Order: sequence, then structure tokens, then C-alpha cells
Amino acid sequence: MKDFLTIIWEWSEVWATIIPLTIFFIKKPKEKNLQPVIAYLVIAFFLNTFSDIIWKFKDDMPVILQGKNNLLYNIHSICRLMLFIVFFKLVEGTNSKRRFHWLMYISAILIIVNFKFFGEFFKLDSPLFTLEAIVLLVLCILYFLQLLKSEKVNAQFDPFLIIITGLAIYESASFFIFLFFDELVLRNTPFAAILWKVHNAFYLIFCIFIARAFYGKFKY
Amino acid sequence: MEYLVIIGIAVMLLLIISFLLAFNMSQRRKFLYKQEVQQLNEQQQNQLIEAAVRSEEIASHRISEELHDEVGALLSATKLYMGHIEPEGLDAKSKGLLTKTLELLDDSITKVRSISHNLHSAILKELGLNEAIRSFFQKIGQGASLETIVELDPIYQTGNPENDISIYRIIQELCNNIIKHGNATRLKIYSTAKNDELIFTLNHNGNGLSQEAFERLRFQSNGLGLKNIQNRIILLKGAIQFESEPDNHSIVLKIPLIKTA
Repeated sequence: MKDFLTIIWEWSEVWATIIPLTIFFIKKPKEKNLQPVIAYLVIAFFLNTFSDIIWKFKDDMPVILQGKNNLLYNIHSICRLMLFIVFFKLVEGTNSKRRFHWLMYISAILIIVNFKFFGEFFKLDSPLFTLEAIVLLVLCILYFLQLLKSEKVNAQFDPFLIIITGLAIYESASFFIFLFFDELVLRNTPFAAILWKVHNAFYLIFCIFIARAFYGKFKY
Repeated sequence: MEYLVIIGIAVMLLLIISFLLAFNMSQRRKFLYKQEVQQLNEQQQNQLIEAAVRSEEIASHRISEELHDEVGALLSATKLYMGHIEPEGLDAKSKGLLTKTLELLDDSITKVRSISHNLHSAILKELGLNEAIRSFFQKIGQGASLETIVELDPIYQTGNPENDISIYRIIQELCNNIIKHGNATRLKIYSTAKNDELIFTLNHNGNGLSQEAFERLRFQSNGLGLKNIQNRIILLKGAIQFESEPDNHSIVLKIPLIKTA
């Protein structure tokens, strides 16, 4: 039983993304501007599935694929960063388009500089994940501050607010995991493995928030 | 380092959860404040509408009384004096003029009385809403090429006479519009009083108004009648719905019934 639960949890990154995708296909939310989130979920599902398969069956994998799951994690982080910047751009409307374009360019330059001079593309790259967490966390906080400053109060069901709340919780909890993960893998691998399970728990929470946003208003 | 990471995660979580809670509380407070302001605005608007409607009603009463007591009395006195003129001493032309004058005077007295009764709500207060509507329909059906049908729910008993005046004025204005702009030849009114709601339905075969047209026209400066209808509906907390089909148009007026102790 314990083994079974362990296996289930080890694959949590894969089935966590299936929850919001299933809700999306059942409920078909009508809100515009959700496309980046849907695109992210589809990409995340494939990347997580391949990286888990590569890691789980590493001994049976061709040599060329062994250890390449880290590369997929890096791609996942880049996709999450870019797609959620696009999501924020769509949510905040046309007034802030230029600001988000600049943010995307600067992020892309920082990622390239990081891989060119500091990180390795085939290793799980802590600075890349940390950059993602900082940028998305700052965008989440700015979004909340903008709502606080605004005179308007939305009493209606707001799927964007739910997704951004989930993202803020996920990124804030993962920030320190991302920041020290490289170092922890070298110093204390079992602890790093436990931390990655904690990360997966927050990733599951994030996916549940997205699923809730896709589900829409509860009917009583 | 392990402790640092654990403490870091805990602090970050604590911060974000505190921030989200503070955000939620602030938004809730803002929403309650907005709701309160909106309620106050609505209350103020209702008070203004009520004052306007009541003052209009008072003005109608005054005009009605003056028409009845002053103009009506003057016309009656004129008729009395005219009646004393001996037709025997007059030539044929003057006789014809006298007869015509007396006829016109009769018409004027009837018209003044009719206008005075329309403006006055005495019949409403004495006999109730149903009877006032019946009387009004009888009047508009007389002489004109308009067939009127009245089927009113006898269960309805007046709860608030002031509200009845508003309902009566709405129906009066709607019927006047149907006759004036709709060129209808058939007009039917029926009512039902159930589930704490009084529903009036006006059916006619003239040119009907759609809901969109009503919403548009009531904001136009010359649409005073429709504006008055809307004001009275707000005052009654009711609703009006226009349904338009070829050769059959209906207006549904829904008024919540207030139970009096």
C-alpha cells in the first residue's frame, strides 16, 4: 500500500496537470484570456510525463536520454515563465502591453546569459527557476496591489484571481526550494528529494486552483 | 542550509497567506462599503422619485378641483343663463346658433368633468383600484372605435392606497399611449393576484412597443409619460415588460404586494 502511494506521489506532477485539463474539457470555460494557461497545462503535461518516464526508467533508457529529464524541467520553467507573462499581459489589458513585452525580452536575455555563462542546460538550473519564481511572484503581488488600488470591486466569480492566487502560493512556497536546490542536491540528496516532493505538493495545489477557476461558479 | 530552506519556505508561505488574507479582507470591506453607498443612492433616488410623484399627484388634485369647482361651475352657470333665453323671440339663424351653443356647452361640461375625474383619484379611494380601472376603460371605450375588455382579479384588495394611485396612473398612461400612438381597435386588460404579486396584462392590436424601444425612449427628453411610468415602477419596486408579436402586443406589469398588518 505504502509503495503504491509512493508511486502515485512520484507521478503527481503528471496527474496534477490532468485535473485542470479534465475540468477544462468538461466545463469548457467561456472566459477569454485563458489560452496561455491552457497552453501551459498541455505543455506541462507532456514535459512532466517525459521527464518522469526518463527519470523512472533511467536504466532502460538509451544513453542519449539518460539524465535529460533536467533539460525538460528547464524547458518547463521557461515555458511557465513566458506563458504566465503572456497571461498577465492579457489579464491586465492593452494599457500595459509594452511593459510585458519588455519583461519578456529582459527575461529571455537573462535566461540566455545564464545558460551562456553560468548554468548548464542539461542540469536542473536553480538560477533559472529562481528567476521564474521572482518574476511571477512580483507580477502576482503587483496584480493584487492594482486590485487594491482600484475603485472597482468585482463581486462576481473571477477565474483570473483564482489562478493568480494559486500561482502566488506555488511560487512563494517554491522560491527557497528553487534557490538552494542545486546546492542541496550536492550536499544532501535525500533532503533535496524530500523538498522536491514538497514542491510537488504545492504544484498540485496550484493545479487545483486552476481547476477551480476552470470549473466556474458553483450552482446551489 | 536545510534549516534555512525550511524556515525560508515557512516565512514565504506565512507572508503570502497573510497578504492574501489582508487582500481578501480589504476587498470585502470595499465591497460592503460600495454596497452601502449604492443602497444609500438608491434610497435617495427613491425618495426623490416619491417626492416627484406625490407632488405631481397633489398638482393633479389641485387642477382637478379647480377645473371641477371653478371652470365646471362657470360653464354650468353659463348653461343656466343660456337656458333662460327664450327661443320664440329669435329668428331661425339665432335659434340655430343657440342650440349649437347649448350643445357645445354640454360637451364642454362633460369634457371638463371627465378631465377632472381622470386627474382626481377620488374614485380610487372610494371604490378601489379594480373599480377605478373598470370606470376608466368604460370611459375610453365610449364613443371611440375601441373595443375594451376588462377581466380583473376580484381577490385583490387595496393594501396601500398610495400604491394604487401609482398603478392606476401607469395603466392610464399606457392606455393613453396605446390609443394615441398605437391606433389600436381592441384593448384588453386582465389581472391576477397571487404569490404576493399583482400582475396586470394589457393586450392590444395596435402598433406595439418593444422592450428595447421602451428602454431607449424613456431616456429621451420628450418621453415624459414613459419616464413617469418608469419612476412609478421604481417606487412600487415592480417591473414592466413589453412583448411584441404581429397583431398582438402585450405589456405585463408586475407589482409586489405589500402585506399590511
